Amino acid sequence: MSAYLVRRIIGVIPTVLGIATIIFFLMYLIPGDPVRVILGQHGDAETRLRITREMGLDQPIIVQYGYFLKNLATGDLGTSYRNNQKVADILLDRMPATLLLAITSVLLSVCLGMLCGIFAAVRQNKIGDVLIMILSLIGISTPVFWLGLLLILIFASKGFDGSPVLFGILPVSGYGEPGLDRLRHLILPALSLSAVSIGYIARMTRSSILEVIRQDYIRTAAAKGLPYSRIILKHALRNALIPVITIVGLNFAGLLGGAVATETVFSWPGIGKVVVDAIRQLDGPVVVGGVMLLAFVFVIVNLIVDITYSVIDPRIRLERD
Amino acid sequence: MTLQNLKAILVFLLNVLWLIPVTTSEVSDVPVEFRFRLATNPPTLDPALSTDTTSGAVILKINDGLVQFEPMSLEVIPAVASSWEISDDGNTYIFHLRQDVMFHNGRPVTAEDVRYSFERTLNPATRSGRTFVLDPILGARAFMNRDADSVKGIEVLDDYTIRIQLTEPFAPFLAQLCMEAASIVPREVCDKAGPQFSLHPVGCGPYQFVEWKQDVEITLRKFPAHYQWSPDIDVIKFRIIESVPTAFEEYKTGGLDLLDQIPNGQIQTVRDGYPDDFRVWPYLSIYYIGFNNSKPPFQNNRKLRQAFNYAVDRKKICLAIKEGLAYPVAGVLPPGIPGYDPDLEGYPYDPDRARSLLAEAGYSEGRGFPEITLWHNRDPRHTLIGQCIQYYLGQIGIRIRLKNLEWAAYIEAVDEGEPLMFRMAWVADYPDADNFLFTLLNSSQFGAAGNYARFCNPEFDQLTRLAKSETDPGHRIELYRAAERIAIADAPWIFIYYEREMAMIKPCWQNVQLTPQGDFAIPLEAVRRSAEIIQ
Repeated sequence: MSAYLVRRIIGVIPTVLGIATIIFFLMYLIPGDPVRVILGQHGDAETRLRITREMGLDQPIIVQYGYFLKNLATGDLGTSYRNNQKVADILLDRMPATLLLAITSVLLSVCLGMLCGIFAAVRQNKIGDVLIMILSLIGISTPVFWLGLLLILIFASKGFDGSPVLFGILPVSGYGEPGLDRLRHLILPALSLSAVSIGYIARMTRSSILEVIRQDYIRTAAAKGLPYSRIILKHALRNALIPVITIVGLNFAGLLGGAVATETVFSWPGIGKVVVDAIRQLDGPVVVGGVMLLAFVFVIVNLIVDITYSVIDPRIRLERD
Repeated sequence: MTLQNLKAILVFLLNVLWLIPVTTSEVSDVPVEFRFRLATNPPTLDPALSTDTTSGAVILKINDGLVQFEPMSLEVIPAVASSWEISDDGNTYIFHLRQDVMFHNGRPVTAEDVRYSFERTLNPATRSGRTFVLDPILGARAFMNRDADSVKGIEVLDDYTIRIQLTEPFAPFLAQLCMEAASIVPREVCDKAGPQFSLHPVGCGPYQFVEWKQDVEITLRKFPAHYQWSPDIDVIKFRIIESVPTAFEEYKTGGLDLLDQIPNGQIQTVRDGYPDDFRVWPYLSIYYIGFNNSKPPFQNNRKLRQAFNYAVDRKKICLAIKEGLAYPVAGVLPPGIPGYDPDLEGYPYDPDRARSLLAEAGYSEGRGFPEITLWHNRDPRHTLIGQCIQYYLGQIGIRIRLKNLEWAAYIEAVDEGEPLMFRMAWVADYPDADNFLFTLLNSSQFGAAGNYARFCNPEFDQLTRLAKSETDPGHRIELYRAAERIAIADAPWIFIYYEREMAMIKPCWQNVQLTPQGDFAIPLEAVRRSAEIIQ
């Protein structure tokens, strides 16, 4: 097991480096000039040339790549073209907000999604099942930004006279102060972001459980006279969890960088928005650094998912004995 | 279960979880706070690096320069310099500094700080995109090219007097000194902070920097030792909210005191329903569709360009797409710019005249005209305007395609003169006709410097160059008006509209000076709160 882990962790380095290299050269291929974007509309050629030279962007791309690797070797992700700030500082500054939103959304989606999935499975083809399947389909297909605005309208919006449109009990947007205020600000973005995952997990849990409860060992457990709830929760659910965990793992990694719409609607200071803004402004170092970070998390989460498989189902071995 | 019951249960649950803050009726001793929306996280708070109005909104509160604009008349008035003298040849300026100006770190501002700040902006290592502000100073070029260790034209005469000599007379120089890039900053803080200065700025303006929560908010507190202002507003919070619908909800719930944008399609509703909050005022900007005047079919074909101008109904575009927040362009200079001529007729909507000019240009009913493409950067508003142009030109037999790109790729293509037709807008860097006529249309400014249309008319060039160095304001205006008439007759663009600035401001705020520079430059230090507090 430990040899396997070491091998996988070492494998992270070429993966992340490969992704960074691809992104580095892709940024070069995007039409446009970062210095021109910095200058705004008023950008005379002389100033542009001067700044380009100062930033080292007049060097051949392969030389720039060499500098990038050299800096990377010393743990330096580079400096933003846009504001001269260290890329690592920019990303680390947003990391707590990103993790908070992603972890809360995953917890919400796992709890609600599995609960709905189990309920739908045990009530297969009954009204509860049909309702949950319809709701999950709505959750999956509703655009996140639209759902976000809808949640604001229901739970936060007020008229010009100060009276709530519906409930008006939660803040519209922002990050809040640490503590309960932060929690209040977290509710709507987390709900909005987890809607899709809840739908997926509910459907996946339902189909996995339905597959498992037709197995012989479940029939045996029922024949032994075990209570139905115990059969489902202890015997069926555990074996049905493998595909659900795969979905959760992929979702979590996706939520870290892919929550741009939610971050925009709720003004949540996450990494996704920083990376997308950097792409628009051709801020190569921030894009490369951001993607490297997200790729790293993605690989690590995948590793955790693989380990979790073997914990849940001892029949799965991480490596050949 | 009724909605009321549901609401009561929700409120109860959230109260149990302590997620709804306890409200009190006590309002005493609470600092007066003003919440201002920023649409994006500002790229920088370093005045030398600022090239956008988002950064400018914050920087203008933290920093002062030698001079400033009077917000409404846009005249140049004293700031850190209490007075100045200009030599008869317009080449030398002597500024006398106030002796009671302090930086936010408590140190007095001296003439040496002015020199340091100007050289810092011009220093190539700073990477300022606004060196043109100080470029007219003698020796600035040599310093920027690292051929000199200091700027020859800047001379400190004593602690509170500084002489600035220009390479040649440049009439808008004082106006350019009002820009952020000419702000005065403390050397000891800048040198120590390095690039971090843009995250923790120190200036000598009416508000001092407190905190910047990236992508969340920037907090400023009033600077009690400011030489000029003792603002009513104790704290300014710049809340960073990108989504317009979200910002609108924040305004309604009291999370913002000033909202600079309203969701598309709701302007009329808001304007009618909330007249006390809704404000509209003139803005120093112009929106146009540029032709590439250096390539056929527009090159050397004035009648064709005029035909396109007569074919477009600007009034309808202003009403339908801008919901009344713009008015049709008659010339190049918007109202508010010295030299603006209210008597200009421009190009009224006249499709018959357009057809006849088109025929004279060699394309009767559009026959033989190549199918060309109108480029615009990605934005629903630009797409709509492009579609309007497509429709109106179609009415005279001209077929055009539309193409949109992300801004970075778009501006690069326009700089290079790739599109034959393109949309563009211009907001004044400083309120002077030079910043429109010379910057946008003088042939020395081809491409990225501002003349995207690659317009070239020697007579126009001569007039705008003469006006640059003319020291008599009356004669300058005459020169600019003559140049503007040439530009209108030559029709280097399809002139579309002058923008109007719009904002919602809570009626409890008074003495809000709606400056033509735009909402970002509203002097919050002058704003007063009425006794009757709303929300």
